[in-house]
Amino acid sequence: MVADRRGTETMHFLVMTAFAALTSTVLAAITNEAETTHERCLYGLRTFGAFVGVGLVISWLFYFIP
Amino acid sequence: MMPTSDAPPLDPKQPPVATLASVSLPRQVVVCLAAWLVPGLGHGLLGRYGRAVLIGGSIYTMVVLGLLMRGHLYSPFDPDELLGLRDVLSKVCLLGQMGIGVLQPILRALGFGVSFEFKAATYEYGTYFLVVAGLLNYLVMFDVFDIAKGRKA
Repeated sequence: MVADRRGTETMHFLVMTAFAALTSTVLAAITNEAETTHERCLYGLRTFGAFVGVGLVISWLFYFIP
Repeated sequence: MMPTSDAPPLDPKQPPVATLASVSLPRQVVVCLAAWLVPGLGHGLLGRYGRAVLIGGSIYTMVVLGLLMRGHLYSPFDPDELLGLRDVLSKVCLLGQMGIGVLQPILRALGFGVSFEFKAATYEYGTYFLVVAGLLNYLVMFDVFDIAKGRKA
């Protein structure tokens, strides 16, 4: 039971990470806020971190809601 | 002696400022349509090959992952699903998924994503991967338009 739940949680996290990685790649490629490749990479990493970080914070908050 | 022009004097030590060139109106229409129909093709036609590969690769990967997660593709052929007043949310999803371009109706016609497998744990994820892939491609179209108009490098 616990293993099932851990497996599901891992799968949800992997899906969220894949979503964040793919979306932030496209957003970094088309952003107006970066000019050079280096700036675009930093923008993509920041966006990826924001997606994953906000997702973890929201899921942590939801943990306390029955 | 007073200067005759408001333009700053040319300094030979300064590097020349690159000007952004726009393309003709018919070509703007063609590249925007190409960007919608095949994600990444608009940037490719404008010579931005690196961005084209990144954008096309990411959007098509999202589509494949969405289908692997048993997401649902809404039908652009069914007039009831397109024009009927019930189930407005599915029309919003259809509009989003139509951003994927020519691949969406082809996949649907081939039978991918037809069934509603809402009992699958990943059904919602898959469906919204497909919707977000289309929505991202709409943003890509705006970027292609900006580049074609010469507003962006």
